[in-house]
Amino acid sequence: MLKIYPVLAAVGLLISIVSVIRKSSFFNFLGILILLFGLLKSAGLFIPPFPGQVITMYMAMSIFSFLIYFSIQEETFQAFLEPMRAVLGDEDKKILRVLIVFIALPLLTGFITYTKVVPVYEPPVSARIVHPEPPSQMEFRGKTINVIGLENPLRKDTANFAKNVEDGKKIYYQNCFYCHGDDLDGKGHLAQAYNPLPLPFRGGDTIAQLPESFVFWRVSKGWRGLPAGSGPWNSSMPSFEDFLTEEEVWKVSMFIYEATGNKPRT
Amino acid sequence: MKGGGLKLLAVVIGLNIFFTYIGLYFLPQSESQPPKTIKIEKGVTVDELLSLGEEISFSKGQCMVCHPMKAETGMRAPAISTIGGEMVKSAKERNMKPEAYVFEALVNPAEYVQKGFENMMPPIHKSPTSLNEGELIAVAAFLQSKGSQVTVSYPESLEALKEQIAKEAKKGGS
Amino acid sequence: MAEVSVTKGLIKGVVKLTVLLTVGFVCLFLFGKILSAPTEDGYRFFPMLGSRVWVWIIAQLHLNFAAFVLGVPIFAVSMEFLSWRRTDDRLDRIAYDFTKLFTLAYTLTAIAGTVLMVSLPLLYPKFMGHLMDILGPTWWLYIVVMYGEVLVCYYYFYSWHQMKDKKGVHVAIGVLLNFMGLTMLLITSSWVGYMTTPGGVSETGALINRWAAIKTYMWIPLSLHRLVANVVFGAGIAAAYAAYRFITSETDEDRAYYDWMGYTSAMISIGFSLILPGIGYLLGVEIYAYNEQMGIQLMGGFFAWLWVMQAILIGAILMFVNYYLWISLNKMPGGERYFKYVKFLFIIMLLGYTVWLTPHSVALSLEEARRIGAYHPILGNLGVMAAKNTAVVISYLATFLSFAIFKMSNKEPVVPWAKAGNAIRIILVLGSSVAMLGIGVYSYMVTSAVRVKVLSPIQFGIFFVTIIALFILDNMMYKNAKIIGEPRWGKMPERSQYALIGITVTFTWLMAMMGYMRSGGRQYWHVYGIMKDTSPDAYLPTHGYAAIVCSTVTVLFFLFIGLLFWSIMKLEKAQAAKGGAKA
Repeated sequence: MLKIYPVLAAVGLLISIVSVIRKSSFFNFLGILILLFGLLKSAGLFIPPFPGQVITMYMAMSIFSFLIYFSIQEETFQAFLEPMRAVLGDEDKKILRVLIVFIALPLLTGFITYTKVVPVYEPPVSARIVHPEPPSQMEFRGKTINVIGLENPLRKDTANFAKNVEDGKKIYYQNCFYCHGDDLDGKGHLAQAYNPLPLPFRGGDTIAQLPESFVFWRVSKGWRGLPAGSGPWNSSMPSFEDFLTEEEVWKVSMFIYEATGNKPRT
Repeated sequence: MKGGGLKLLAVVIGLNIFFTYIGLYFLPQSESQPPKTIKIEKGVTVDELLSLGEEISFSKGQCMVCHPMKAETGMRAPAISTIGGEMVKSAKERNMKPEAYVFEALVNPAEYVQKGFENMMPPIHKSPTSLNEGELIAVAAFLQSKGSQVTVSYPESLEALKEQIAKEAKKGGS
Repeated sequence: MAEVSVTKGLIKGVVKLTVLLTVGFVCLFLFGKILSAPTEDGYRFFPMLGSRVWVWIIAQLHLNFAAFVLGVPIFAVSMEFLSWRRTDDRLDRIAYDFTKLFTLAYTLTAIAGTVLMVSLPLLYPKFMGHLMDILGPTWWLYIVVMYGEVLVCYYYFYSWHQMKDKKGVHVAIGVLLNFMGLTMLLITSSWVGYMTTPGGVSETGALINRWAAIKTYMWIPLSLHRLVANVVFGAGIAAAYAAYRFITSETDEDRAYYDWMGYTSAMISIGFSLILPGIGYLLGVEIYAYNEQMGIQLMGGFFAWLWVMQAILIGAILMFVNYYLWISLNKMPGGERYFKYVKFLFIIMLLGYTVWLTPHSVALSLEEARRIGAYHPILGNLGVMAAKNTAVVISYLATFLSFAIFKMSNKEPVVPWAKAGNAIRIILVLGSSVAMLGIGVYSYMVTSAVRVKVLSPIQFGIFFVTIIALFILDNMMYKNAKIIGEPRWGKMPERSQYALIGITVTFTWLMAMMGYMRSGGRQYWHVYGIMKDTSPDAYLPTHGYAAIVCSTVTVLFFLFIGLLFWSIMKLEKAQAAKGGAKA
């Protein structure tokens, strides 16, 4: 879908260039607007796309500003009005007039109405704290653990480091990989079924920003452990304390840090 | 020229309709309701106190106007998410009980300002925020829960709170 | 014979005011008896609309008219002074026309004021009782000054033609009139200041020090802000009047005059609006100094989105102004030489506008939120103050250049250093633009405190120094310049006049919105921190609701003012017909 926007921009540019040569400011106006719209939309190919609301705002501003621009000089303004006058008044444009009034306008109105009323199945957006502050204490299978200051006990065991990571890898592929992905990028084969998407571990935004105690808490308690502000109903993360032992959670935590080249925040 | 006045009127009305349209459909629509006073009963559990405190911090207390939830660069005031731990540290530094310190921070904030921040917090038991004693204790409990042990409770902590309020009143001379 | 008409005018003014005040007090007394007693916590309810919306509309209408009658005299007198010094009849005529406008607008102002005076104590008896306790004496002083103002104003207007030979005295009377107006403005600002940033009272609202209650944090900055905004607004209305007369006039001579009047008024309006951001900044600083919470709530809390709205409105005003100036090039002999620069100015304005209305955070659809994350990499950076301040100063500089181009378009410099002068101008413009952009970029790297307290003032400072330097340079360069041809006043297409109306309407709407924000900043308080609003209207409505009220007020205001314009025109026509018949 995005691919057609650069084409649209090019078409706009072409219209604009041709109408500059032919001194038709009305079509120049249309061309510029199409070009701008195409450019704003095709920005989504390279960077995160502009939100629809902002594009509407920019387009409204562009229409206003370019109307101003094309009505500064009398000559340009008359040239701008000329096509409209012609369509409304010329004897030989009768068919065009009929087409516009009875086909194009109703179709346009219909289209706008359709886009406004067509049902969408999107839940309303609510702000959500993705990484909330964990509680100071938590229960793990009935055992009370202090989360504050909690460190991975296996990291002290430097001799078995490689083995622990290897164990973690196995655990990862048995439990986590379906959602969090083969590449730990949050794109597992079940990922698209969830909303919000499972988080990736690669990149500097997620586990790189978190202490390992957070990872331990989040993995162990899952969605049920989230405070209200983070919308527990908005997470599909299971409580892995039901499936894994304490040691296994620590192993898998070591693996995801190791495999992505991230370090836990201290 | 005939009808010029009417044309101008049309421009006036058209512009106003346009502005109204922006106001109605471009800006987010929400109302800001005046806060309700929360009455706290004797024998309230810690969990209830915490959730009440959280609610007050976000609404009537207006804490979130200045305090961010999570630490960020250029923040005006200490972040809530780690404030409990910070307060324990400060209390130790000043040889105060954590309980006394958290109340002082609420009703007499000018007394001790965290390093790196300006003294700009108003005493929140006074107007315009005017939290009552129960509400203050709930907020104190909520703040302590952010990174430290919750030591305040209702109504046991009333004494300590009143002590701090009296101190503030004495200082103000009014 | 001549003396009689002045006396008559004075009597008319005093009678009008007295009648209105009497009607007001009688209404207060009668309604107080007739209406049911107020509710326990001190409210009565206005049918249908609700008390808040009713008072809101009336107060804003009253304020609009008051801003007009206080703002216009300032430059009417300045014009008269200039015409006296330069003996220019056209200036005298424009000053007289302004005076006619505001003298007639007095009646409308007073009527709106009377309705407000009746409404407030009836609908909010407890609140008004409190205000009277604290600031009562100022209200009585206000009435006295009002009488003085009306007397001076009517004298100023009706003695215009008789005192033709005593211009100096007449100008002095005009200055006195403005002095009166300023006093009234100070008094009313003190009321608003007390409501928003109260002082001089105990926590329960008992009076401790009346002077402190008058001299609140907001008082002086608010008065200054209102004073300047009044001039901007008054000039805008005068421009709207000129546009109305231009469009409806039937002779070329009239068109030429009203074209010139519209141009002059619009330039006064925009010229004064340049200092508004600075004074607004002062006002903001005072609000922060009074109470950080209120400041943040106003700037970034509930009202944050109204600043985006403000950006849209001011951007539109600047666009309209530039448009008007660019069209004006058409009527300047030699103006066509400058159309090639318009293109660049337009692009700069467009970019500036784009940056300025970019919101920092937007309401996203879920689909978008999934792909973008919390902040958009580009929008998130354009939407912050650093970018916006830069966009604003650069847009203002472009506007000033449009003005400069218009001024010099029918002239050619004859001074020997003209080439060097042009080079200096280019260096000035480019240099200051680069400096302002540089500061804008640098602002991203410092804390907000440094940005607000150091960099922004420097940025605005550079802007002001640049335009002052350009102004002086142009004046020197175009001294005794060769004039290609006189401007063809009146040879303006009709659409330019819509731009003038657009400026004024947008400004009026902006005033309504900023007034709402100022008042809404108190949130659920009548007097912030002292007296709570316990009525059902204590909440802040949605922005859409506020926008509807602002639009209603603006349309109502323009209907009334249109009526005023129309009646002035009819009156003039009748007089002309009479004069014609006699001759």
